Amino acid sequence: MTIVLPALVLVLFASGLFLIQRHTVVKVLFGIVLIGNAANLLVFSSAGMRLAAPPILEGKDYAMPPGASDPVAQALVLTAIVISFALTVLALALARRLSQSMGDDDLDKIDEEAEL
Amino acid sequence: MNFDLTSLQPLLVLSCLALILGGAAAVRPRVAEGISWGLAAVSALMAVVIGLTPLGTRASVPWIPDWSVEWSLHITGLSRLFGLVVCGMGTFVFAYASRYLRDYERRGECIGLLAAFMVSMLGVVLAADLVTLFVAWELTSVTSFLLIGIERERESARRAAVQAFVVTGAGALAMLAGFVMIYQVAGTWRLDQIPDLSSHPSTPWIVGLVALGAMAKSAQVPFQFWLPSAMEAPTPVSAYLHSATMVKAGVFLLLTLGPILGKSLAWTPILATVGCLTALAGAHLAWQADDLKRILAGTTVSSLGLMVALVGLSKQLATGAVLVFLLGHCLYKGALFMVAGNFTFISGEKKASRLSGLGRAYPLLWASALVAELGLAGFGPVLAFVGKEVAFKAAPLSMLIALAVASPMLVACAWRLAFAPFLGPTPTGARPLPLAMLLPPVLLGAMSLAGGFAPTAIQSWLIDPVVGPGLKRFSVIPELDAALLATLLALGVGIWLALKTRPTNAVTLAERAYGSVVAWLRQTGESVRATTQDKPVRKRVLTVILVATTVLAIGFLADPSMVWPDLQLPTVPVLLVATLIFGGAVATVFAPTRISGIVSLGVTGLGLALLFLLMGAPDLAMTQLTVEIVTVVIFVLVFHHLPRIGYHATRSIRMRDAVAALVLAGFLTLALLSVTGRPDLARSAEFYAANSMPLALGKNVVNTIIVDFRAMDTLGEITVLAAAALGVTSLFGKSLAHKEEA
Repeated sequence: MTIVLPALVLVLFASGLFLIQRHTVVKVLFGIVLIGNAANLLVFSSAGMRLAAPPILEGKDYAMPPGASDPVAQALVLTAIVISFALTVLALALARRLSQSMGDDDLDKIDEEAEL
Repeated sequence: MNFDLTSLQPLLVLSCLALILGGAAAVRPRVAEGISWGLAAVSALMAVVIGLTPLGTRASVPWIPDWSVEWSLHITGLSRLFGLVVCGMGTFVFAYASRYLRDYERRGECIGLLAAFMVSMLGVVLAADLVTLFVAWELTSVTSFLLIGIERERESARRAAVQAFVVTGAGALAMLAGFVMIYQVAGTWRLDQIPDLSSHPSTPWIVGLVALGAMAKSAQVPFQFWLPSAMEAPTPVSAYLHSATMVKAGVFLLLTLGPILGKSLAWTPILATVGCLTALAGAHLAWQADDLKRILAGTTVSSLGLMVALVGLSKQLATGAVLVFLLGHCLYKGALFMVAGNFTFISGEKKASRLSGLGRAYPLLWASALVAELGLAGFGPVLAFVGKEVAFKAAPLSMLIALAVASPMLVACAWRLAFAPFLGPTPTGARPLPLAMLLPPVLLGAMSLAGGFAPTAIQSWLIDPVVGPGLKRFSVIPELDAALLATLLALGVGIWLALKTRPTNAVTLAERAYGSVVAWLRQTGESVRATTQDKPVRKRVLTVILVATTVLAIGFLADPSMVWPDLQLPTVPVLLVATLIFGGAVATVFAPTRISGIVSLGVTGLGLALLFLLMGAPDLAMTQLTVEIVTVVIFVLVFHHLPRIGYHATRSIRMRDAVAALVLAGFLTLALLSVTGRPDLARSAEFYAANSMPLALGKNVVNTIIVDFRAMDTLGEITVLAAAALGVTSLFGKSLAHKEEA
């Protein structure tokens, strides 16, 4: 397997985790998306990280092509991509409402205002 | 599947009929009175059917065959006796409730829940295995909760309902643990197949856990306080659930498990002690109370204590005494609750001390009350007296002393309820008493007397099948012995107490303890929240990251053996795509404006799509591509108009956050490496590859997994998507409404 995948998982997670601690709403949203990408890549890579043929059956006897990638991990990630998309869109809608009603994009200031 | 219901079918059909009638009452409260009569008839029929069904009849339906779990019912001597109590009392309660609840706002709901309770309770007493028993047990707790809290706008009713549910529910959890231990030891859930476990080393634990469940349900010390509070429910409910049937479920459980656990060393000390303390505490509670139903609740607690103490003796005579006393108790306590309800119906009074002069206007009510009080006082030709005499004979000296202290207080209660409310001049404004409310206590009193005069018939039909033959014949004529002496002494002291003392309405220690435990839980919860969930919200993210890091670190420290995968250098296309993703992620972190951040984020996502394509996942690549494009478009729509991104945090804070993020990301990567070193963990792919064509008729294995093998998961995914869409719509639908207003 290639060394690139764990390196990318590391970078994506680190950037995402750093961003969700920021004050600015949009940065937190970036962080959520990046963490989603990182998690998807993690699950995908965990099934064996190599260049491979797609898991599509071939020939008359419908056999898996030699060295095909793991279909289970792909099915999991496929579902996860869609769900993280739903999460992102909902978070975006919430952020939009928040900036509409609070007129600020600093989460700490919004918190203080909400307290008042 | 092997359904075998033949011999219990009539009973099951009648149970379904009762449930349907109950549902009809809940939906159409206007006809609830008639339905209640119908339910009285159905439960009478059920009692007859139970009486006629031969002992040993069994019915079962498989549920989880791999764990040998099934739904099963049977008729044994014990379940016949309890089944008759449940359905017999049901008849009287439904007849009484039909008129009592006529003007009650929630009559339909109340009748419906009573029917649901009756069927659940029947499930408890007829259960042939521990799982069915537990499920039915919890159903009675739930129906009890709903009935106690039926007047949900009153705070005290809600509190009483929650209290009863928390106490009995916690006890039931302990009981479930005990049941699981029985299964582990015996290898079966079936009651008729569990061997005597008394000498097994883990039996003391089982006894303790099961006893907790029984004690909570049967209101034993220290859980006795929930029962007086449960008197918030309407009187028919109190008469049925909280004196005649549900609170006896604990006694039933102990009687059921007695043959299995009764010879354990833990059995007698626990149950005899708890039972005697409860008999004392309940009697004291009743003696101190002035509220009619609280008096009766206290005496019920006391009687339950006597029964538990006797079951704890694990002797044939004591078990026989429990059963006779239990039957007698149902008859007189049911009647007393109905008399108390009638007092309140006639005069609107709920306090015993404010009642007087009802004897002349309601002679039949007085007569039924007198017979019932004989049972409470434990003296005279009634069934409860027969049971109590046998109990006193079976009890060892220490227990007899405890009972001799408790009895006078019960006698005092009986005296206060038997005479003061009926003597004196007739009060003005008393309502006439309908026959439907007068007859049930009168009939119960008649049965109590009949049982008292012919205890041998009851003994040979109902008691002998449970305890086995060879027990001395019961008789209403007492023998001249210590038991009779104790009874007479209690009678004298009790009457003296009734004449000399006044109720004080003291709040019991246990009730105060429950209150302070609940208050302590609230306070602790609040202080934990205040320290861990500090404001602002944003700062909690760091806590989450640190906790996750700690958990992963502990995991790696606990098992440091790690199989490293063999890592290779990437090919050129992969390296190019990786650079794209890497650059996108870093650019997103350092983006000076929103739009540049959104673009960088999009680059990362597109790079990911390309990576999926290179690594043999075209479906993922397509999905990722579509999602990424839509995400970028929505991001731009939402944020395009906003200004530059400023830096709010200081440099050192940003460094701290970066380190925390890197450490957690490092651990996650380490986790990834440690799984990929073990390719033997992923074997399910082979199944899908082999079966994709024959079972799902598809060449693309990913597709067949998504839409066929795991179609339900995909349905869940679509549901999440729909929920998110609903969320977005509701957020902006509201903002539109605001605009219209403005």
